[in-house]
Amino acid sequence: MKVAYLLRGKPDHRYRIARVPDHPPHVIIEAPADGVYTPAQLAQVADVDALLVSNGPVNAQVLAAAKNLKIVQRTGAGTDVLDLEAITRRGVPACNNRGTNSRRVADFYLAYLLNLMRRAPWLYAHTAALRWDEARLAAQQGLELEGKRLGIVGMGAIGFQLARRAHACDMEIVYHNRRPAPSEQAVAARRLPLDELLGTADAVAVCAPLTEETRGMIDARALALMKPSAYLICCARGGIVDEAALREALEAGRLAGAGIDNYTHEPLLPDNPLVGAPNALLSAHNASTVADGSMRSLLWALENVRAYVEDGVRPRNVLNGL
Amino acid sequence: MHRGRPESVARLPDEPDIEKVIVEGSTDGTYTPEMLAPLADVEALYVFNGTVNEAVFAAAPKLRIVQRGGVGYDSIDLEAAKRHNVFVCNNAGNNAVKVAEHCLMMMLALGTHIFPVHELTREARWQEARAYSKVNFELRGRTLGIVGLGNIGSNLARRAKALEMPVVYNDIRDIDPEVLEATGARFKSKEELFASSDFISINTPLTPETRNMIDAKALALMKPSAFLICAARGNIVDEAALRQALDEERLAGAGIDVFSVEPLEKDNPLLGAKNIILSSHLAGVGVDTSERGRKRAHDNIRRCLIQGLEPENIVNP
Repeated sequence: MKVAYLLRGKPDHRYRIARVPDHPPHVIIEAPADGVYTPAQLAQVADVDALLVSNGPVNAQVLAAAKNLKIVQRTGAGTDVLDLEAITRRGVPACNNRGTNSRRVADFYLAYLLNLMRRAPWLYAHTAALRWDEARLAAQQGLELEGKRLGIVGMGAIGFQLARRAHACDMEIVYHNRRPAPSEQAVAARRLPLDELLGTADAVAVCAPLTEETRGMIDARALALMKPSAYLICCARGGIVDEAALREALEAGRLAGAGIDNYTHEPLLPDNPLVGAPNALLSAHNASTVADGSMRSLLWALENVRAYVEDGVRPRNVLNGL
Repeated sequence: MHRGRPESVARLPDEPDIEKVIVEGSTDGTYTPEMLAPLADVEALYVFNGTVNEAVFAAAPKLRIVQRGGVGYDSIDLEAAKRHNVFVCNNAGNNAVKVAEHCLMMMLALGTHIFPVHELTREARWQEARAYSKVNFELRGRTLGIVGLGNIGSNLARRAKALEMPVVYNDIRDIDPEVLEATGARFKSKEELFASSDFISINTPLTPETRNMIDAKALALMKPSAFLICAARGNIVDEAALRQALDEERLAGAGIDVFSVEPLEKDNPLLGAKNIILSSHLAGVGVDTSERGRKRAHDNIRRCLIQGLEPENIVNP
């Protein structure tokens, strides 16, 4: 079996790939910024059985060049980088890694939730500067999670794991989802229309995938519905939250703070409106990537592919019914 | 009574049935006659902070109850109180959730490295920020060791369980089986706890037994990948030893809310340490906790003085 990795600007992915024990023959293709692969790169995929996709696009061009292709496998959960129609036309299964990162991403949301709602950045900054009384006054403005309302937008695997954690912290959970979530009773969560969720939540966590429906969903209008004392946390794909609108809301004090992990364009560029935004905590797409868990996810993806290609075992997490 | 907390005193609402005098507390135990004079007619002493010792009791012949606004009572001489027939009461449990949340907050901040990552990301230093992925680990399956499984410790344990972190604990008391059942916490000796935990949270009161409990010897038992959290009392952790352990990377990081000398002073060895998060003895501070605590404290004083009943949460029976 031979595989090709498609990625762009992910040295930590290369780091992990290099450490897979007994890795089958593979090539790593650094996808160009404009998504158009070079002839040399296309030649490299000619004999591969599988495309393992970090964040390099899977488009008609690369699919046509991979003449031996049997399966397309995302190493992560998000599917927005896959042209599912083209993959289906090509006649191969497209799979993702749904669910393997949900706990660690939920932990990251909880880290932002606790540290923002309780005003930690200000507490730590005042303390390190020996401003003891200011730190204690800032703590007075902090909110206990207990009894506060958390609004989860997108009750998938990650949303549910976050709900479990917030429920253990005795938060009241409301959620917005296309359909009622079967897990809602386990975490005493109530399904609400989006606007009502936004208008009443003390913190809003956006956990939805990026789709045509969710693109731009948290725009100026949505942000204006939120309480000025509320916090927005989004470790979901860039493009769901309107970055310029968020910057404006933070600067105008119409939102108490935000925690953001993904951006419309990655790597984050200095001209992104969120760079320098007040009351914001920013991370570099770190939520899903951890030393041990991410390695496990990669091995899972490789095994899903290997079992199909070498043993004919039906792959898991097939997205396109093939 | 307070020392250096004018904002706390200013926020005290008037209690229509309780007359208030404000007394300046001492932290080193020395009181001048001027400081003690207002105590002459006082029947109840509500203590924000400040030492309550023989000098104070001797100056307050009508005193019947010393009521702490918070939970710790290491600054109150219980023997002296007993000699003068004065109840000493605290506000046990009032801040349990708040402090547990603070410990969890620090654990998560340290484990996910959100603050150093933020410093890099806000300057668009993307690759450096992503490099932290190599040192972040899943919390699931990582052991939390809690020293002191009381109101605060058990609240922390319950939350850790939702993160699928196994919980081990050490406590000198027998723990309610219901708490053990609800949290899944397993007993370990202190040494075993230090050696096997990935996160260690100190949630004991300050007593002669716990003073300097976390010394160089204890720190040496801990994994180099472990994180230490202390939101209990200063002087439980040896600050110089902790600084050294962090400098030498024999500990991955620490979150500390309480110090040997408070307010925090510029010569404290923890200032400027690597991988440390510091807060100003505020794990239990918040407008909701303060109001609730004030009400409970004043109701307890009423219970004792006005209703003539034995007060609750007596710490010197």
